[in-house]
Amino acid sequence: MVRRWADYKTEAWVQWCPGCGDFGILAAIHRALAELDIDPRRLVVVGGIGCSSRSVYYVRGSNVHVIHGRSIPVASGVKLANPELEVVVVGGDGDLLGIGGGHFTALGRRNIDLTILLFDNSVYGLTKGQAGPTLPVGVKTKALPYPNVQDRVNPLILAYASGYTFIARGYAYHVNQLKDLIKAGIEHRGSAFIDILQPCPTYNDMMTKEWYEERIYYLNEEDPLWDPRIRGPEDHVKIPRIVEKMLEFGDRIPLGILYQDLTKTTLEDRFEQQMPGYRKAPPALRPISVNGRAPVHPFKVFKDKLIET
Amino acid sequence: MIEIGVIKKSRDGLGCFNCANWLPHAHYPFAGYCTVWDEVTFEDYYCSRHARMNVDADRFYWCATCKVRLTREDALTHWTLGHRVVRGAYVDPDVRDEIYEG
Amino acid sequence: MVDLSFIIGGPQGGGVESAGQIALKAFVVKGYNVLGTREYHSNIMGAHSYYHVRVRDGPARALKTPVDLVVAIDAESVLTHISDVGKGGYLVYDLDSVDVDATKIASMEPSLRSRLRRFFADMNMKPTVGSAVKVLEERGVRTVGLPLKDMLKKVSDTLGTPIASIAKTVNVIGLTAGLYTQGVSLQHIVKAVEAQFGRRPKILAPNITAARVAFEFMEQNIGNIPELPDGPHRGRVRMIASGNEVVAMAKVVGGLTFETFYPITPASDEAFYIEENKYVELGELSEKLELDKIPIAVLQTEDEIAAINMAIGAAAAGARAATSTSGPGFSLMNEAISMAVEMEIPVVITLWMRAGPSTGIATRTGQQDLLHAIFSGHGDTPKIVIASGDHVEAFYDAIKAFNWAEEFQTPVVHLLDKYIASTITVLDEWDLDPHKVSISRGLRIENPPEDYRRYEVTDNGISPFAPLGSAPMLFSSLEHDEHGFASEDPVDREAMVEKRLRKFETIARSIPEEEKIALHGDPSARVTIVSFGSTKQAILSAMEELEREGVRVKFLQLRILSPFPSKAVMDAVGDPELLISVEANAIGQLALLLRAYTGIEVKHFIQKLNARPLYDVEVVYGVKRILGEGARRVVVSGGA
Repeated sequence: MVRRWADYKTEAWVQWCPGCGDFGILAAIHRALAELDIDPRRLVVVGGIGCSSRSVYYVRGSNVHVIHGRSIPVASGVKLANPELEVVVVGGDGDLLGIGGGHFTALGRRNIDLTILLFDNSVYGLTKGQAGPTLPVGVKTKALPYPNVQDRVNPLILAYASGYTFIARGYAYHVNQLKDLIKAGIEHRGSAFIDILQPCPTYNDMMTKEWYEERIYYLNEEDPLWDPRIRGPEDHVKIPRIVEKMLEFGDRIPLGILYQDLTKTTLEDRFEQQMPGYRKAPPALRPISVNGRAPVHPFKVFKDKLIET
Repeated sequence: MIEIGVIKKSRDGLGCFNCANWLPHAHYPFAGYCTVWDEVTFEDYYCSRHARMNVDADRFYWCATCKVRLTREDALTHWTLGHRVVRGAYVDPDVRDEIYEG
Repeated sequence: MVDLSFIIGGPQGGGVESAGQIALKAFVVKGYNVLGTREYHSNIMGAHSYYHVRVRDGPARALKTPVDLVVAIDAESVLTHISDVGKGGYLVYDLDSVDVDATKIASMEPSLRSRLRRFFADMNMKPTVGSAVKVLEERGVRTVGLPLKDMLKKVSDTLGTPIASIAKTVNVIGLTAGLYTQGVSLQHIVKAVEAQFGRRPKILAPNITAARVAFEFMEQNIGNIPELPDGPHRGRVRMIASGNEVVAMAKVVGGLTFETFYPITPASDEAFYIEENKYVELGELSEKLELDKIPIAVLQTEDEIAAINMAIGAAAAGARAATSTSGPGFSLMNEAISMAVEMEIPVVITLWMRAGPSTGIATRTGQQDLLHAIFSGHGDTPKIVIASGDHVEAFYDAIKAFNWAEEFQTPVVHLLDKYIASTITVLDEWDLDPHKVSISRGLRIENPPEDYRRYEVTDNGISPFAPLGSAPMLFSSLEHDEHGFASEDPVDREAMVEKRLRKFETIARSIPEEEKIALHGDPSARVTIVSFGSTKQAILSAMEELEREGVRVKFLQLRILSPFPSKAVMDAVGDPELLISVEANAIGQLALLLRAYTGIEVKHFIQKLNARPLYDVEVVYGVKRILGEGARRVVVSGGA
């Protein structure tokens, strides 16, 4: 049976504002999952706090809705405990780059096989539109009493510096293109990061649909030879151009896959390498006892601590 | 020059203790490590390769009296006060065994 | 009856750890029980540290002062421990250190320097090692000055090869001299040195020579000392391990599959030992899984917030998951602990208390996080808190904590402290029998139905647990309905609050009474000491002494602090007027719990506030002052 995108919907009412970019992202997620035919039982969507994190209730899966900013460590725990699961993190720029910023960078160092979908609207929607970490300095949205005094973080450069091995940017209303990016991110082995630009029609009256659509363009449309994949050391010559594109955010904003490193091992690989059998007997699934008892006496294991009298 | 090896007593007020090639042990400074002979010697040993310790170069020093690493400026002050200023301290290669989490 | 105590002091990094371990091994090989703790500064190198050891033919329960021997091979150790050695005891020191003045020792705490200056000024003496030796001799302490430099030279000359580790060799010289005064034979010292360095020939050889040189020196200068008779515990294999290590062992054999940590004293050594043993053969489990070695996922995280959240994620996926930390890290974990209660996640937090508030004294002990452990997390967040009194309890509790976490789908805080963490004891095979507790995982379903309800409302409050990835489901930290969908509906809300409350009542009912409290001593005694955690053995040891002096005392040890065992406590307390709470915290946290949960007001306290472990003699002293003078609060202050 081939799954259709509607199979990934849930009965929960999708409680976002009319015109919210989240709807586009959700549609793209549903379609990507259907095209990849991922079994909802094996799909784990993890979200933190914020409008976008609520997606965990709107995607059929074996999902977890956690506290603010902690979706990446929870998702990491799920994946490392059962590497067979398909684990996707959803969250806003406040959740993933503000309160959760430390975890965001730590994930890159680990390169755990997770897909991080950043619903990037530059505002804290649920709490009435305070400045998010991707809101540029000097911008005064209608929700802010004064212009923003803190500058934006560049999520792509941050992800690159942290060690993510797949970095892409999409746009919420381009459902088809976004679907393809999400598919590529899920299929990538390692930490995949997709920055999804998304207007917040309720609170961000500066970075609107029109504002974005005047600026965005697709890298592979502008340059049909655009190939950001690193397959070996010979591809390192591509890095300056990749970084240049990651830095581009102003009159023009590039979309598409900006970087993909195919040479790095995942943390799961490193565990397996250190401890052959880790994947065969993962922490979540392996038995821990024999007939309801501990399998061995500590005197048989910790021999370095024994002494004969 | 004929090498005569380490003599096990100091000579004419010279010994490992005031030799620029000698690093007293960080905790037990009566013993130390000779960078010339690559072995553990004692403060009152002497050899023909003795090089009088002084504070001249712009580098870090170790005050064995205060157990602290010093810049050249601070080293001169400690030196003037009569402290045991040397090039550095010797730490046993297995010191990690002896250290607690803190 | 053999009952020896001694202290080995020196600079951190200066060889005290090896000396302490060799000493413990020498007495264990000789057939005795031992207890040794490490006291040290938060410092990598140079600050004063010491081993405090007790040796007995009976149970070596607690530390005591004055000791029978201080081995102080640097000046700071002589001066720091000037009050710790008793009449008839020995001081072993470096002869060359006699002129060292306390006021010139850079590494010494300034407050201690001033106290020493005043102490010696009162006697018109300079605050030097020489003065200290003189004062001790006047007190009836036997002093042994070692020509340490010459002895080390002799070792070097005898060997003919370079000394691989000056610190270790210096310490073995000092230690051997010290052990000589206690009648330990050269043969036993050499055996212990071999046990310590047997796998490292370059280090072994100089240290055996050092032991010989020191022993000969003592024979020539001190004369004959009758040999210590063999102790009763000979002819078997025993284990010497710290509290950190024992808990790590319990986790590894008790089914741990996922451990996270962020480095923090005094918890890191536990995680370190798990990491060292994360891939070992586990008996029948290895056969069952057809794997020579069984993997445990161990990960150092970016902070404690990640540590607990990652463990929660792993637990939701079905892993037997834990993290370990200390007070500051536990503070960071609070929000996630609240989430684990709301999401009903089985996760164990091993909490090694240290002296707060704030960073406080990171390397010293205390019992200040009792209320913090119980009431951690915002919202109504009941959880299980179990406190271990010693290494053996800690072993079983670590396994039980996992069982309860999974049976009741709740966070469990396993409460320990720095004293247990860094105290080394000798254990027998029967002390750590993992078959004394079963391994149970509660109501788990591997193949849940399509409409699986993660938060099914049940009579006992426990919903069947299906791991993530086995069915479409929702674990939710928002208030939710039975399926886990976020719900703010008032009826759903009340149902879930009531369900979690019922679960907590189920926990209270399910844990056997004998595991909630332990009542030691004569139940009919009128005087009751109440306490929890690592004060246990000091109190038990004090009771032996009080008994000898005709004071009948019973000891109510609280093992489960949450859910609070109100009934068991009320039944066990004798005369509430003669109830004494022994606690290493300032506000009487245990007494507050007693008041809140039983209405009993504790009127007498023995408190230890200086961040050092509690000694049995201090309990004896406190009880006598309370019974004799009706003292309300006795603060005891032993330890350097």
